[in-house]
Amino acid sequence: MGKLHRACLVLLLALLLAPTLPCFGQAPGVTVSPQTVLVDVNFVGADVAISGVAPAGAQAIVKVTAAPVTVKLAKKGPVLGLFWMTTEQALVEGMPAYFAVFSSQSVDGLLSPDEQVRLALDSNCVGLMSNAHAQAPSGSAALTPAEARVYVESLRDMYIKTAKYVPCQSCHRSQAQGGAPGGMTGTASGGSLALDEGRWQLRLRLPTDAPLGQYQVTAYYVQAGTVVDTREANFDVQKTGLVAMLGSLATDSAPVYAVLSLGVVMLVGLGIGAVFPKARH
Amino acid sequence: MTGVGGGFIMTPLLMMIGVPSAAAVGTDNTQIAGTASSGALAHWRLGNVDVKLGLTILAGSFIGGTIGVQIVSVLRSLGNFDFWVRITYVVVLGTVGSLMLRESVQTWITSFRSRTIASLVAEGYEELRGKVHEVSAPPVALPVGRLTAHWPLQMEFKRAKIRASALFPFGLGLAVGILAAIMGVGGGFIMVPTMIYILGVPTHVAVGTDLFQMVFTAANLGFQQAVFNRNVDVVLAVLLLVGAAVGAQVGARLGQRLAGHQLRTFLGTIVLIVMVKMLLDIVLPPGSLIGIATGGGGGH
Repeated sequence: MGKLHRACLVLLLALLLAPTLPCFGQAPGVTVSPQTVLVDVNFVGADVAISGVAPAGAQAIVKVTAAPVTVKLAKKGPVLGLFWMTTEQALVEGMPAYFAVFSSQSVDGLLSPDEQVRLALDSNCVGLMSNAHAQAPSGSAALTPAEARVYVESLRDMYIKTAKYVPCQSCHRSQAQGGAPGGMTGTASGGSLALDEGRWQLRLRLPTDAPLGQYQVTAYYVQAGTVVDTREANFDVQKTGLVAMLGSLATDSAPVYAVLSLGVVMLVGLGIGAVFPKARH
Repeated sequence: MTGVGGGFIMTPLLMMIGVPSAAAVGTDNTQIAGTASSGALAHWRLGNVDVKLGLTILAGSFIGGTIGVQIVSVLRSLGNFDFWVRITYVVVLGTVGSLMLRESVQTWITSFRSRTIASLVAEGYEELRGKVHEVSAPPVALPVGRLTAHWPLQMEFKRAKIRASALFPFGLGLAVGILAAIMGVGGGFIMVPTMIYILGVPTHVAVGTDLFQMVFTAANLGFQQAVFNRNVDVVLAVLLLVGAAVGAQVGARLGQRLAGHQLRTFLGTIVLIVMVKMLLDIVLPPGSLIGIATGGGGGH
């Protein structure tokens, strides 16, 4: 077989395989490390490295969300004109337990407000809240849409206050604040995103009380006000070791957990009694 | 330092640092089982436990504790457990703190009068000599115990050296069991004075018998709280237990430098400060009207 034939075969093979390769005509996927964040007794938060490659000339917006959880909220009101106690309760469903947005440039400069809401990237979490709803617990009077909205917005505010929600309000650091020239760097309280020659890197800082479960990372690549490509990846936050064992026991085998707890505290108590006998007597 | 278990301070302090009220109560119930076990064993070896009296109280506190855990469950589902815990603490701490301060202030005054009269006698005012004994006379035991003398089920409690109706210690256990479940306390601050001043039980037997029944009462509560209310954190319980043990050693050394009434003034003041904080929490408008309900959300 001549050299020409070999070259033709290689070229043919390359053309056949090219569409299956991620770099052919589209950006490669998103890489997350570690794939599983382990929560043990010493857990004080964790850094998650997320990276990807943006198409030439595109900017990156990265959204991180945890699976939605149902949260029970209580509303306090004055009773007898003296005490403040719970007067109403509601269950809020459909709100992710964690939400953060990072961008290589100001999101307002990259996408229209409507597009931000559609993709749930807006700084007021309007898009995110459109999937959530609040309802009264069974046996209670139904909530009006306005009342339900107040509960959903209150939960959003609580999440922002406790850093479980990091909307892209100030995630893009301007040059005046120390960003790299050309708006290539963005930061937020939950981490930082850097875009350099098409390759972006995000260091996501998960809080100490990071919700457990699967997290979804969505990278939007934006060019001229339009999302030209989207890439997704997942990672997990799981309990491990003693925390996992005690957590699953407390939930799935409460009587065993109760006996174990009492056994441990009594042993510790008797141990303390043996260490400090004089004080006990 | 002050000679009390401290459960009635522990739960409010846990709530103040952000532990949900239900978790504070359940965890405190569990750690009390550990705290009481070593003390009960020591008193058992010293022969300070009246088992018959302890079991009679225990019968009541088992039923009371079971009722209390169900009350906790209902109040949690209504979303008002936090409020009722706080108001219970306001009433109990207000009463206990006031009584402690009143008693310690009276002791300060008596001590001051006694020293003044003694110095006057020393200066030659002999007619005041009788007053010295008068002001330093010990407090008389409360006569309430006599009221139970005609109740049915009279029993002899040999180690405690009393004869009383079994209904009284049973009722006492019932009431303290309910309070212990709601407040996350051992109840020694109610049980021991009641046994001493109303039943006439010797102090060391009252303490030993209380610790004996407390081990089982707290274990019952810890078990039920973990099973029905899922509000026990064993890691926190062990940390509290170890912290309390170290604190007790430090307190014991500090306590040796202070007189009894000074210690009671100190404790009474702390109790009243905590009570005021609890009261403000329920009467002042909250910073945010909507919050996560007790038992909702949570960390790891």
